[in-house]
Amino acid sequence: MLREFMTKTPMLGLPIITLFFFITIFTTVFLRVMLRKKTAYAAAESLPLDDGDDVSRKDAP
Amino acid sequence: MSAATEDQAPATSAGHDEETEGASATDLEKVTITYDDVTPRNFVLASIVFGIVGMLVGVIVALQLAFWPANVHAMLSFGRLRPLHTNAVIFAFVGNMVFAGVYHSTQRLVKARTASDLLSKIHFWGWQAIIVAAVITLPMGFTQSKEYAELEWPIDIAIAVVWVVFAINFFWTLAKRNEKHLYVALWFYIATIVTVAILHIVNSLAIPVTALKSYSVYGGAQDALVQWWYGHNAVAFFLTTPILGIMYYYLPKAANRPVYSYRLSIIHFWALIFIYIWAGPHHLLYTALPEWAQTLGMVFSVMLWAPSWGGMLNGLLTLRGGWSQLRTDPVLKFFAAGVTFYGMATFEGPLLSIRSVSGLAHYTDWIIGHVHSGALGWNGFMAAGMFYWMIPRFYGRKLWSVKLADFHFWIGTIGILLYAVSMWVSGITQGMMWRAQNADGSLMYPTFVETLLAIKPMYWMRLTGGLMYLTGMVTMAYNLVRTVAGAKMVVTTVEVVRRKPAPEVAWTKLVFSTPIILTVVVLGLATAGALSNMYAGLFFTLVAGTVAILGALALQSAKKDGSGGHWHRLLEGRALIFVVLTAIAVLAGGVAELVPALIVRPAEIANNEITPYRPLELEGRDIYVREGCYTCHSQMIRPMQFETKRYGAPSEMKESVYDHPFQWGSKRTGPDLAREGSKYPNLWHYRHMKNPREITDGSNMPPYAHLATETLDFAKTANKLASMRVVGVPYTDAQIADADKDALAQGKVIAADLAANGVTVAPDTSMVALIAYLQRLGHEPPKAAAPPVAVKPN
Repeated sequence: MLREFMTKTPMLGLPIITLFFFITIFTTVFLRVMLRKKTAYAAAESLPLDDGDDVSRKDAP
Repeated sequence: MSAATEDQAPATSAGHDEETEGASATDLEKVTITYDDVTPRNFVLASIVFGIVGMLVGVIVALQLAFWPANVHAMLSFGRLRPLHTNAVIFAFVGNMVFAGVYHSTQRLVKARTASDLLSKIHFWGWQAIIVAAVITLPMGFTQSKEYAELEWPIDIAIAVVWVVFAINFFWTLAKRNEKHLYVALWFYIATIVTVAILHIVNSLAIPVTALKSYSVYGGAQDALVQWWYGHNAVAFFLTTPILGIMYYYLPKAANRPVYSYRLSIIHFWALIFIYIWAGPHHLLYTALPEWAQTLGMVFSVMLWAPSWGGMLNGLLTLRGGWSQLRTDPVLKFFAAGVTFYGMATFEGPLLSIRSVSGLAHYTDWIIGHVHSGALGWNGFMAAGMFYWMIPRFYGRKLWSVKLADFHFWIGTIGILLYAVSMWVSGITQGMMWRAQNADGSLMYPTFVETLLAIKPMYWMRLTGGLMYLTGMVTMAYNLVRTVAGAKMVVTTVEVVRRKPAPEVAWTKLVFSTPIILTVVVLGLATAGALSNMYAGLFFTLVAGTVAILGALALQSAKKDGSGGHWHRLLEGRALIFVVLTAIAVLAGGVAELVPALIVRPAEIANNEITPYRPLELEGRDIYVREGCYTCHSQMIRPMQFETKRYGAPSEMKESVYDHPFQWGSKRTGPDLAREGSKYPNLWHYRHMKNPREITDGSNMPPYAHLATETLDFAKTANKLASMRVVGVPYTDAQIADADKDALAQGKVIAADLAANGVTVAPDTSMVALIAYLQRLGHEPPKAAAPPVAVKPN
């Protein structure tokens, strides 16, 4: 079926190749991220809370 | 009252732990950063003002649908105001809100002031100038008729320039950042900036005809594919990804707790940006678009459920343990409701993308309800939450009235519910009535206006919901004005301890790192599998899967024993490579989906069976575009029995091949017009456009009587044909040279026919041209009578 599909134009292979591309990348990222300890992200996830805002404001001249 | 005093010491903020840990004192330095909060403040003000204007126009167009006399002037008719409403809400309200959030949060996340105040000013005033240009040109009828991309070519160029200014300022700020790690919100901003630039440029490619008129370089099905690739991704990358970035920054900030799962945010980001770009063709299910493209659009849309809900759950679960704050904090109230509406809209979107559901819902008000639950609930509430958080802090004051903010929340929520419910009821009613058939197979409701009359009460209910939401917006504006009245902006300064600049990690280390090599190997094997015969394909696929799993385990094992690196952390520290990978992820889908369809030449699609429009018909088509007829009428008959019984044979791809831009439409407030030609006499069209109620009792179509006295300049018609030839329509030199004579000749035939029926109208009027166009729709002229067609354009 795939070859019949591809006989129309080889360009139709592009979406299929890209789908594989996505699945591969996604699987890699997913495994990579989920197999790491949650604590590895502690510093990064606290960035919005660590910007010193609300503390150091002063009136504009 | 100011919340802080002059002598308060600036906060000292260390960079990322891993940035500074282990560094000796000589490696570290302390720098003082003063944030630019004037730019985000200005964007907030612009967003609120244009939000109210855009929603007011929305209320007016809602009124026009329920009560046609509200079309008080040609320039203020539904067809011209509807694009103004959508553009104002998307690009003026949400656009300015996004810029406010990006400028404000980026500085704090990278611990650096925005790179250039000048570029910030150019960006702000340039964007407002574009909005003003839209407010002027759209009611005047200058439109490309491509939804959410209606603005004409000079404004398109201005958008591209201002966007580049924004991008330079943003990436320059990243380049001089004092925080190595790029927080997840910044990834979403990067994806937005990169992708919107690509979408805008590709979709806006057009050949100028005059200073404010152009023809799209794409035609028919190709234009439809490109337009909805753009149109859906305008939703994805203008209305979703930047707001997700804003959610990932402001929601933890307001709840004072970190995001629920940073790991989930990484998966959410990469999956979302890769999948979203493919989803566009779900707007074209059952149309003349190639089936493979429709299937791709549907499959990827359904896949979107996972990352969308991953993001939504990540947002809501950030509030775990802190739900009680919702009772008292209006900011969290808006954020929680906004994220919930995001979840609802992203559940409904994939549902509507399933072919059988689309068969019922497409062209109906259900789609309008879906769009508004996202725009009002997700975008509008996230904007409100962010404004209520930001503005008091800009001025060092508390919000003037929490009760008023609560009133805004509840009236807005009820308004959205009224809007969404009325459009669900209206849409499903339309869909069911259009397809209802009697036992003998005949249509149960053969007259289109019956369906319109059935949903009229829902149009009034929608108007009520819209008015309530607008009231909430005005309330917010008042509350914020009272909050800042008489106050001065405060200046926010922080001191950052950072490691002195050290040599960057070589880009080769990232590009040739194990995960990338592993990915390339697996991808190569998978490709070989896809292109081989069944057994070899199976073999390659199994090897690819095995390599992927073993490779991932090996990577993890290497990390545990200390030999593996924090690859994604390295990546997040290298903005340029991150941008490149993001662009690849987005382009992969765009290229793979668009290229196979775009390489087909129009002449091949036409197959010598389609004749280009005659000059007068082309002029009439321009009137059709100018008046925004596509906002209520489709030109695409789907291959369903109830459609073919009502409108005729299903539309074919070749029939619209010379339509630059395509006019398939996306909504049927009125009937489909794909086979309107020769269905009624010229007099019927004249009377119908002069006063639609005279022909169809109960119609809500605006009157177009002014077209009968509006004279066209046929001297300009040749230029239009020449421009069309540039984009692939095979007009001959003779046809172009004689365009004015041919237009007048055809006009005289129609005028004479009308005169024979007692109506006097000049042959060179917009009315006659529009009749010529409508009579041509789906009606190929006899070959003998058709003008000669060139084999191939220059």
